[in-house]
Amino acid sequence: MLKDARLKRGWTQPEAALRLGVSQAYLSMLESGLRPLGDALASKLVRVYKEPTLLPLPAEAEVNQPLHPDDLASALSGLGYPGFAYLKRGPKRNPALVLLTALAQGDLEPRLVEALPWLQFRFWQMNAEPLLRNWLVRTAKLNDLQNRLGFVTTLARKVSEHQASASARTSVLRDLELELENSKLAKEDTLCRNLSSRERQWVSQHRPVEARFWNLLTDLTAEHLTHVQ
Amino acid sequence: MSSNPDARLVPWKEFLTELDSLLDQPVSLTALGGFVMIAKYGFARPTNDIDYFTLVPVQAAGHLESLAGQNSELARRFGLHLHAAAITTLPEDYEERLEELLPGEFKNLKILVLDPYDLILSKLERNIDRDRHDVKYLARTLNLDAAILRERYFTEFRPICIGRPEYHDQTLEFWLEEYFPPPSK
Repeated sequence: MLKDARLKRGWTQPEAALRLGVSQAYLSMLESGLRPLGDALASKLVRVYKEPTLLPLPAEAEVNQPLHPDDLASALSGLGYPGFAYLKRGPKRNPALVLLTALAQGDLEPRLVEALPWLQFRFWQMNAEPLLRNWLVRTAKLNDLQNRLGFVTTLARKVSEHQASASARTSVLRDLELELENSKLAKEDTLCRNLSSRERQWVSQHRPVEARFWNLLTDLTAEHLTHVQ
Repeated sequence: MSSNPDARLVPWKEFLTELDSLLDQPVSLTALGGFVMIAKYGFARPTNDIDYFTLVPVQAAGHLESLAGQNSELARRFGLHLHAAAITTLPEDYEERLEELLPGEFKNLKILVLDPYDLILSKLERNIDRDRHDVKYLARTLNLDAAILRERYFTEFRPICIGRPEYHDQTLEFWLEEYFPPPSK
């Protein structure tokens, strides 16, 4: 993935190594996975390549951990989410990791939930990169998050469809939806919200067709996504 | 996002103070939405804009947008901006109940906010998750009276609301049952 990112930018290994402040030999080992990417170099890499999806990802089980809302907001701000532009930017994290960690939460504040389709919309290319996509799908399934991931992907795709010259993004997001549909869970879930029984009843009666399709109790629609454009 | 109300208001105060210094005439705007939840009612939730729906004088709209709108220099510096909100239905006599936010803080700028019952009713037609979240907070934190909300809804809001009144009746009853504290005995 690191090599692909370099080639996409038309850089030779010596050129990229110079930008990163490492030797060509070391970069070669990084690109072939023979050396892990440390935190300091990862931050520099994101600044130089301007691509946070290159940041390392943990083992799948690590997404299922409690996440403080402030940390999520900082992470979203760090990735450029317009809704949190006024917050102090947190360290750059891989958007795939931020997305799945957030989706794994039991009760998020609604404005944080509304930011999740933005991640899929803004960083749609991570779904086209085989290693990242496989990590996303595998991790989602391992943590029973495929419905939630499928739904936010659907919302991102619906916004994309309204934009001219966005066919590549729309196509990539649709591909991921189709893949996730194959393992869609039958059990009803919420979109990262802890709802009372009365709220569940209400939302169940008034939810949009996309939420019904993904067996989610949410009334979030693409029209409500203020910052996804 | 800090849970300390004053800390949460700091970026907003700085933004508004800066805006106030750039104004060359008195400007009054009526705000609603997430900013009011934070600034007036102390709710720790994120928002990056001040939604306003009335502006006096109305001729100041263009100038205000250039100073503090989404594409302004202030927006770039602070990550915050003013946003002229889409027209929303409000109870007919809401103006009589407006309160001034941060009175005496600014030279030219005056910000008026809805009272909590009017703020709740401003969310009724949309009624999405973040609206319900706000209603729950307001009702319980301020120990609001369901009877007042119901009365205001039927006398000032229902006669002029958009959409099917019967549907909004259901929404109101849901909110009252689910979010409002039971009447004290």
